[in-house]
Amino acid sequence: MKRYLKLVHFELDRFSKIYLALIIFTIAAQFTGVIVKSKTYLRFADTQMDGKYHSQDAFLRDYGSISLDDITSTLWFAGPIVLCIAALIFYCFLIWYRDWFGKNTFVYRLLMLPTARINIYLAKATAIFLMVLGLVSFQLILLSIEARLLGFMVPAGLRTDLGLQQIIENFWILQVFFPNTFTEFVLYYGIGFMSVFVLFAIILFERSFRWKGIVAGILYGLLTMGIFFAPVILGLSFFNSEYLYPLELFIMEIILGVLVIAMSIAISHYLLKKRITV
Amino acid sequence: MKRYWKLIVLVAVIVLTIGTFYIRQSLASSNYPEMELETKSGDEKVADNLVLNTDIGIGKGSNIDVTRGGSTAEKDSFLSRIRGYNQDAKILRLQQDHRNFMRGKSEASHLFAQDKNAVVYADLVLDVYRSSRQNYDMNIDWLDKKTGDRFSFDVLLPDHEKYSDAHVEHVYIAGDQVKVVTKNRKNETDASGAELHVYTIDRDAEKIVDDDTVLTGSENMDNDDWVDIYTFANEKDQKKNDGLILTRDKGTHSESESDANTDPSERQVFYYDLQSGKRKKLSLPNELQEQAIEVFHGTTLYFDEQKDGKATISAYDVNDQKITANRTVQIPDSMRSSGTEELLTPVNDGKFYIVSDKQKKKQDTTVIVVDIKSGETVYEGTITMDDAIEDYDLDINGVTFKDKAGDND
Repeated sequence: MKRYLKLVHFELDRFSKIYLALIIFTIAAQFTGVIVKSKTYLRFADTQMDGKYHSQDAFLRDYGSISLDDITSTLWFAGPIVLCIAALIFYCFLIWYRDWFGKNTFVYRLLMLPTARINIYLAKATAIFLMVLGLVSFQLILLSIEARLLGFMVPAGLRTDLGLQQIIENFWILQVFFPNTFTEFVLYYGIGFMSVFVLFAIILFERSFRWKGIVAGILYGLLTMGIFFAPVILGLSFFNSEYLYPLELFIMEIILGVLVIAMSIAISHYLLKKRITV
Repeated sequence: MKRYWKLIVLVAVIVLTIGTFYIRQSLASSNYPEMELETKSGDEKVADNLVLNTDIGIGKGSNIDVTRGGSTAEKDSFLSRIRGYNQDAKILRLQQDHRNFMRGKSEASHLFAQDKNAVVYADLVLDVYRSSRQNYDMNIDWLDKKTGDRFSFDVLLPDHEKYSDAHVEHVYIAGDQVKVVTKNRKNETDASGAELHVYTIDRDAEKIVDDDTVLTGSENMDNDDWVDIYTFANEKDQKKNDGLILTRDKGTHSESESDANTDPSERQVFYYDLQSGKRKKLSLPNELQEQAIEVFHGTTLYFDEQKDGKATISAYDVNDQKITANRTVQIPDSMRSSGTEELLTPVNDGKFYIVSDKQKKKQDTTVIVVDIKSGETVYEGTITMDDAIEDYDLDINGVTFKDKAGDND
């Protein structure tokens, strides 16, 4: 257990510089977005009110006030999110391959550690999970701060303060990352993490058997998808509608999800122990 | 331990942020005012089974059911969402009692018939893989409740190439046979091609043994003419559920393809006996010709009308072909003041319920209940909530009655 935690900490440490860079970039881009949009809006409002509209109410009636979802819909906001997603997906691969192709073939030392090798696999997965959740939490905090920032930039009459929930509902990417209920949160992220486990197993297939490994890995990936989606696929092909009642389907899917995760860990354990090549 | 500070901080931030977010979420969802149906006058027991489904524009206040006992909102949890909000008591009970039989079946209750021996399901399915145009198969699934035997088969609709659209209106069990009432359309745009069929299907022979065209749209129609057929099933006293009310409505096409201008004076109403297969045209007294059919209970057909600030209910007996009761209720000004467009007027248990579809603060009457036989107003009530709430826009979407279970078999 201690080894496992040490490895997790080690993996987090390795990535911390880039992680920090992503966070700073997100802050910079999103704050800039708030500032730029606010200033543009205020300037627009000023010229309009000097010109055609002489009262604030008339202006508001036609153009509306500014609110945070005007900024969330822009690239200033969505850009960094997409970048972070891409970076983390990329790092899912890099987290393994850097050990082989980095400056020192670090993987030698990693595999020689006096610990069950599966801890390496679990630690890398945990690190990815924590990093994802970290960014997600961070975005949530950032949204509250950005709301305040908007408050500083635009006077109350010309802006609408939205609750956090409303801001999320207005932008589909946020809806995916912050679903309405905690149950859905666990489900969505659970599926995401299950995919990471499967992806890592595929990577280990490649590292064990090279080209044949890629084929084996892809087949494994397809197998897990088949298993996970089996109830839905079977239901639709043999019957016209869903064969299982919704609650039954839900429980079945959770069981299958856990099964896929267990399979991936078991296969990875075997590959790491017996088949991995350096 | 100190060396792990990054890990600890990260985990702490995650747990705190996401934890706080979802805790606040679950507290915020109970963000609508508690409401209650309060008796203004009359017998409060009358409203015991009354449920008003409302939307109030405050907080997350939509789809709230208000009763004499208080209000309950639709649960927003994930589990209730995947269960679906199907409120149909008949379907829920069938799913509970015959879980495997109900698997994979549509949740439309008119496709199911039940008597003390069996539950039968009939639906029309479009078979897209066959080459000829618009092929409808009728899918029958019959469960013998006593032996647990299941009979599941498909029958091809006779003359199926003629019909561009067909759907099931009603299902009736007659011994070892099932009669399926369907409305078939001969061509897509013109409703005049509608035909009402009753197919008798023998369970053991697994085929259609009779095809009775009970009602058709008229012949001799101009392009402008429009005709449609509607069915009303008996909604009470399921044991004696042998009759169907059919109406043939006529009118002219309007500019939009999907609408029509109906001419109420051209409506014809029929009674169809499912057991004998006989159709009888009902002669309606003049005053009922333009009134709308509200519901069919047992042998009584209820007609109602809202006009000139009054709501009228008429009970018409289909056997005697006479009006047996007729009540007119003056709608109080306060009920109309909320901007109510149309009143909801269901009939239940021999009583006529008048419910305004909107309620504003200061409106003191929202529900009026009149006993049809005696003509007495037996109940008046309104929805109340915390006095501190300023102004609100309450919409009443529907009225349902909490039924006693076990209306079937």
